[in-house]
Amino acid sequence: MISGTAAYIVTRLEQEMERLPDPHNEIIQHLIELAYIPVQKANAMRSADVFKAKAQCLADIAASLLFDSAYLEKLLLIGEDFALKTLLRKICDIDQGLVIKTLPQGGESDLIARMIHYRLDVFGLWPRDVATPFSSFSLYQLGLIADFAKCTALQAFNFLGDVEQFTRYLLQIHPPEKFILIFQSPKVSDETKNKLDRRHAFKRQLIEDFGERSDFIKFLAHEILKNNPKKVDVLFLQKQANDPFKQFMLRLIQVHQWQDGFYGGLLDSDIGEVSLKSITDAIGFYNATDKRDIKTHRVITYVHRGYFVFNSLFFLQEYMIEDAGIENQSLEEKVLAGISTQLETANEGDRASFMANIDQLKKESYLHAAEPPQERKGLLQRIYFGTKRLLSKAFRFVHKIYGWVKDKIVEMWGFLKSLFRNFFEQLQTGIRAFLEGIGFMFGNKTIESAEDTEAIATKFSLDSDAVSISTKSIAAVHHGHTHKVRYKIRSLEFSLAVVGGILKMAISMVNVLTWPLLLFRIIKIFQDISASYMELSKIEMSIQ
Amino acid sequence: MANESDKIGQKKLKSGFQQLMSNIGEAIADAASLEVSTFTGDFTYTANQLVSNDVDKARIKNVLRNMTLESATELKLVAYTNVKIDSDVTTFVKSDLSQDDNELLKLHKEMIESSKASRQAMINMVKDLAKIG
Repeated sequence: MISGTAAYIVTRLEQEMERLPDPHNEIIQHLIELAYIPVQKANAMRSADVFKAKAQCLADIAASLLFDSAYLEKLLLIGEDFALKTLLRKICDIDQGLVIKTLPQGGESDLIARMIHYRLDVFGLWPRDVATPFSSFSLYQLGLIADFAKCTALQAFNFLGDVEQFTRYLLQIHPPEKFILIFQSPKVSDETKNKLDRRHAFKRQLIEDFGERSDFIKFLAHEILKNNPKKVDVLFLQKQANDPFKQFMLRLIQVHQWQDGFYGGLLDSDIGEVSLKSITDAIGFYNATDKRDIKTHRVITYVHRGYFVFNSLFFLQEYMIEDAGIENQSLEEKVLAGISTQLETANEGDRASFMANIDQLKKESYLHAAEPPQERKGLLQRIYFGTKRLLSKAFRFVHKIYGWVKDKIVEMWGFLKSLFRNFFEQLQTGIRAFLEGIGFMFGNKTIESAEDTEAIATKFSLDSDAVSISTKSIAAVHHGHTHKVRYKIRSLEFSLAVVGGILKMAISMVNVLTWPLLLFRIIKIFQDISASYMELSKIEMSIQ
Repeated sequence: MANESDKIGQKKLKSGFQQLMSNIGEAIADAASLEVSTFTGDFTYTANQLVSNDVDKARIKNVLRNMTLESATELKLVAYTNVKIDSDVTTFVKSDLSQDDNELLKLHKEMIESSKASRQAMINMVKDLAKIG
């Protein structure tokens, strides 16, 4: 039996886990995004819908050959929800998304077809149901991207799974003036219009950046960014606002802003009040972190009749491309190590402030995710769960993160919420594994199976002695029970490895270990053990 | 956590982990042999012992406790196996095995394998812990 202060540790970790997020709502969001649950059901979700969708999705994943079967099996041993969340996150990831080698045949409605339609949907190019079979219309829509990127439909699909690389590529192959975007946003408030009406300054900057080397820039400078806005060429503005490439670029920027946590509105290509605020927030964020003073007119100006001119070239180059060139795991490791080192040397007061703000981050990170995703105007209100870009940014600011949390820096709070959401999830899974391992060792775990009039119960004790008690006949439950026991024992291997890792760390750091440090160390231990457990480097995830 | 003084928290952590190690040490001290037992009985369970959920057809809550404490049925030993640390294995099996008993014997053998795997996971953990320092 666990007693005294050992029980205290277990109780505190149980409490900690209760305050951490449940992956359930992320799973639901992805199931809706992939049309396993219709978006119309989002606001009135029934558990039967989720159950059915999970089963269908898991069957499609297994049939898709996107993942190695050994990888799937090991992932399931860490936990069913953890496995499904991890797989769905990979399928829906658009910054290190899965790569496919061939497009489906017409009429196929498998997971790959859903993935293709999902990515098109994120970029505003899929007006139909994501579950629709792959068809000539799918190819046509992929062809639109292929035209923008001067590539094949297959390359276009794979580009949509690496938004950063795709953006960099588009910036390389198109002339700079293609990224001077014009859009109309008639519903924006007069206050915002007045605040962003910096035509003269924008024009000066534009000429400074581009010169008057192209007709487009000359025309813009002389006919659009005029002193008297009433004399601007509205037809030109209209034509530019309807340019399909430029419309796509606006959507791409909305996606970038959504991925970075600056934009929390609907992915709808509508650059309204919320999108404009996300742009000015991004400028504020980088000014604060890089100690620069970029003015908003460097990026955007209001012109007339709801039309804005937006220098997306500067915006994308400065803020949206963040390739650290390092694998995610190393990035996470470096970010965590940076925080842990500062925690080890911090004084008690600073550590207390840090942890109070971490508790606050926990609450706020999951404020949206605490409730299932909602539908609005036929679209899904969704959160981006990919981590590559966040970690790249975090790596860039690794020495500042501890201070931002401790001092609760307002400009960084949105970024920190997104960044820590990922750490909190890993902490939760790490604590769960630890508690399961401890529970198995000290809880005399019983595994039970029953069907009709047959039943078996097997009880394992800490020294692995086993006692089974059953009804006389077990023909109906035998196979299932054996499978359940094997599964439990194999998942125990993972849990015990986490228990061992935590105990080892705790004993070696016993004189400096504090609760905050323990939590960050658990995240690190979970990452290390799951990486070696999964043998990630050996896994081929793109075998289509 | 944030309300707790660092010094108190640090002290509790230190003694907590030390005690946890000691608890594990005491509990596995009796690990020189592995015992696997399989019993059966002539009893039924009632519907109120079942807890239905969406995932399994039925899950029995505390089946073991109910079977052994609430049921007055006499349990019969089908098989008992003792595996010593030096790999000596002793097994007792009920005589006159019926077809049902044979199925139970198969289950018993599978539980031996699972017990060994469970023991191995424990040994791996302890071995890893022994590498400290």
